[in-house]
Amino acid sequence: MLKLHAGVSKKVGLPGFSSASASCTIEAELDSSLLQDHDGFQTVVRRAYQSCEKAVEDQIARLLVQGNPTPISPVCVPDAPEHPQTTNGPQTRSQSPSRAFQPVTQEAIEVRTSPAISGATVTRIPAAQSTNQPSPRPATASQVKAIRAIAARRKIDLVGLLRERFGLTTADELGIRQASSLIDELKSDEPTTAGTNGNGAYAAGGAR
Amino acid sequence: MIAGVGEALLPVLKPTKPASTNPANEVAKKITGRDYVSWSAISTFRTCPLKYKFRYIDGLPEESVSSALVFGTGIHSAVEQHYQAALSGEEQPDVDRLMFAYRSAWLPHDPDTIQFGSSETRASLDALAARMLTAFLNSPSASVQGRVLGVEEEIRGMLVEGVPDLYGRVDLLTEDTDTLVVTDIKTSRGKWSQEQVEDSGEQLLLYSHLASEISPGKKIATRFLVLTKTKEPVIEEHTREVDPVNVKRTLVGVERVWRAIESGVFYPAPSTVACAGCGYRSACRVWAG
Repeated sequence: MLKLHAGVSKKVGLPGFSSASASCTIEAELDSSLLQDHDGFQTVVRRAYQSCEKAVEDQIARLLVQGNPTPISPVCVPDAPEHPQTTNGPQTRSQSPSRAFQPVTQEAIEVRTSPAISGATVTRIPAAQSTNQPSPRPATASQVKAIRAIAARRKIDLVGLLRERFGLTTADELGIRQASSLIDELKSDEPTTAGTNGNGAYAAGGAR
Repeated sequence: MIAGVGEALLPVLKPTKPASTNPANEVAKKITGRDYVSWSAISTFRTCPLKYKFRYIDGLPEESVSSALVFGTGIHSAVEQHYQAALSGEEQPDVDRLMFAYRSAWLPHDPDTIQFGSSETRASLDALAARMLTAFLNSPSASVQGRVLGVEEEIRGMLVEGVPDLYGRVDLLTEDTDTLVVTDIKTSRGKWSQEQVEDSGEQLLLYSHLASEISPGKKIATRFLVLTKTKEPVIEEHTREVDPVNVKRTLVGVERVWRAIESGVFYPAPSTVACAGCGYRSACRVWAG
């Protein structure tokens, strides 16, 4: 079985320190014969992303029309690094440590919006409030890289995990604290890596 | 199967930077083509304003690059790979893997343009790198105290009104229960004196100022991780708490440098030390104001 996860998210800055965002994720099972057809596979993946992009653009446009704001700056993040994901049938699935990490097996196309614009209305944060309570700092690039590396190593369905736990599509959308906790959690129930202590940090004297 | 969806080609959405709210960024973009200023740029100006002009305004390519610069970049890459692996819970990279990262720093450079010291060769520097990285892996510094938050982490923000955003990369960002630690990795000909620690702290002071939002309420410390390029390399750490008075002094210095750049105050600053390895010697010689 060949599985494809494709996702795109977009965030538009709005006046008054508010924003609107939308994301779209496609999860699909593909015919495994596509593995032998490089061009065909690339075409399918490209179309998946294009479909996501179109859905996200439409949703953002709807939100802007309803809220009537003028966007400041769009930030669109194709969710490429985690996908496409190839799994190896039931054997791989049985290695998943919890239900949260189970790969999704049915085809699903969904358009999700972030909590900030749930109900398709733009939520605007009063300027004074946003000044005093700045948005949480996003996860660092190295945290995102670490989460993806751990997920890949442990064959975890990262998209499913992020959606279930945080209501997010990509690791880039996590806050720095969320990312930190997730890394700790993912590492804590992993067999101890040789040479590392409980924090994932190495004990000294390890030159080999 | 999804092969039937999205037949029409749609414009590809690319990530874009958030809109700037700092008016000075536009000024910077007009002067240098970048909507920010880096510590490296500030530091270059302070070393030689004309070198700053050649590099950041005129965009002149350097005739040569110092082997020390490439070597330091390679050591940085190797040590950073070590900490990224720690963050990712991967097996500790051995010296061979770190050397692979180190060697990658040499690849972008034409060997003929690298300026080696009189007693240096590429082979001697590679051997030195292997000794330094082995010493690092055997040192307590290889073990992370607390939790890694970022490796080679980009930070950016406004420090002073009227000055463009400062953009930089923090080599290592860690935290424990009560302190956020901003670490800069350095290679050095020898052990650092206390004066060197104090004189080299400005960059970290500014980075720590920008990083303070990461762990509100925590103390912030700056830390130098120094790997000496000696026959028997030594790994030393210098950690200091951030002194707000020093931050203020550094900010004033940055503001004055930017005012000079804005005003077009560029002049050569001859120095027997700095000029020897400068990649703009020819351009400097023909400069007439």
